Amino acid sequence: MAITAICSFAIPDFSLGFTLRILRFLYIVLGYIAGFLGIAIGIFVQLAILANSKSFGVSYLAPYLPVTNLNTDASYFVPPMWNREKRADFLNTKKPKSQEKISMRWKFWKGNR
Amino acid sequence: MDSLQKIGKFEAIALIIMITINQIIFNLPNTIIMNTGSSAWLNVIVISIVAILFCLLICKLFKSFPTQDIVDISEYLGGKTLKTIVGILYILFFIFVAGIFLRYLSSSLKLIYFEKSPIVFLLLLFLIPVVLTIKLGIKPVAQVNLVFTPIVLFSMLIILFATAKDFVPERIFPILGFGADKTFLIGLNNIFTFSSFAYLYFLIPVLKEPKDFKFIAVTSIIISAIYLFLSVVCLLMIFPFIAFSDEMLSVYLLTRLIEFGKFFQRVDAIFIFVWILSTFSFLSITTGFINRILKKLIKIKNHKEMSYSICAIIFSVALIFKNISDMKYIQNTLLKYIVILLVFVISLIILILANLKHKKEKV
Repeated sequence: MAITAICSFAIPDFSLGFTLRILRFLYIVLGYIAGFLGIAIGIFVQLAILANSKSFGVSYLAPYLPVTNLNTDASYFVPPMWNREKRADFLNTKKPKSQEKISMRWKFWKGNR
Repeated sequence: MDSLQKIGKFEAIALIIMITINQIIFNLPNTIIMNTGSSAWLNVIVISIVAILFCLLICKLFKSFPTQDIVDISEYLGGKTLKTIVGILYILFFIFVAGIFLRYLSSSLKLIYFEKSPIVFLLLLFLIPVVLTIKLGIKPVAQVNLVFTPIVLFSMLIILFATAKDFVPERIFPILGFGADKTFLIGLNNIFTFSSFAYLYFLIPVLKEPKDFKFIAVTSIIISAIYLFLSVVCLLMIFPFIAFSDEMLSVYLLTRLIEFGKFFQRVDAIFIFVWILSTFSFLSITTGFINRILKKLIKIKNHKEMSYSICAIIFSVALIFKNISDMKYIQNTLLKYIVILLVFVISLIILILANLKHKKEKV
């Protein structure tokens, strides 16, 4: 209970915490019924429902699920600024490429170019 | 709506890997060690090479049918009769695998943590989330599986390397175990460990980009082979193979050996938690595939409601086994030959004949 209460401070908006208040009781009941098996049931079903949901046409868990490209600026491991060549897929941009492969050309110039 | 149920490259790879990882937890390395002795690691290398070659072969055979699965190819080859036969065989196979796996894991959990709970209660607890998630479709299940797969893989690596201090390298001797014939010839029947090929046969229609099938198949088989090899080597070097061949969850015994000082006690609980999540993924994927095959065989409007019936049948199959020795016997004998016959022989023959027919028609 203490851990979930402290973790709830990580939720940026107050109204987003309402679901957590309700789900907390569901997880308590699941934990009482079957211990960590019940908690695992709750996590699995909740993740599946979140993965199936969409918000304004964009997957609810974007950019983490579905994984389309690992080389964008929105993924688990964010590459350095000079390596962020593609925009995030879920944005459905007109130009998916944001910069060239070699963005720091000045680093590789030789002589008076 | 079903046309939107397509999965990506990484989701497909995670799906296939999860099948093998669950089989590793399901005591598959134990079966290999029982058959080949201390040369199990050699046998795993041999069957992995055979599996990779087989994988390349089926990728080549599937090229002529870029958007079809094995049931569609059976219909092309032998009409509705063959399609129905192959479909029913695979449905029975998936139900049998899911049932035996579910019962095995529930019995093991009952022994470890839930001594006073009835087995029916545990079986239902595993099946209820499967029913709930399969109604959403195979896409969210594959995406959730993608979240859990790296965690499961990482946990397996922790188990394998945290127990390295207890390795006794002399236990891999004698090198040829029960003999060269058992290692290299008779031991080839251990290829049943790659029963994930059965899921590969149904993967193509579910992929967003069917041209990625070869990459998905080869990558997932290689990663599965690596994990199988590591788990067999780890088990061989820690436990004397004669003494522990009757153990239920030998990978769980590895977790009991992990120590991180005196502060962290019973680290095995974390691994059991992760494995339970992987079991949900495995059962959901299997049920999802059964649902897809049923949809092809029986043209019903609302096929997602079939998940109740499928889970009820899996529940019944799980209750058939009287005790653990029954399950071990069926796993080591019946399941092995069913996988080899259906997945490696019958399906390969269907693919080869369909390709020959396709070439004839082209000419």
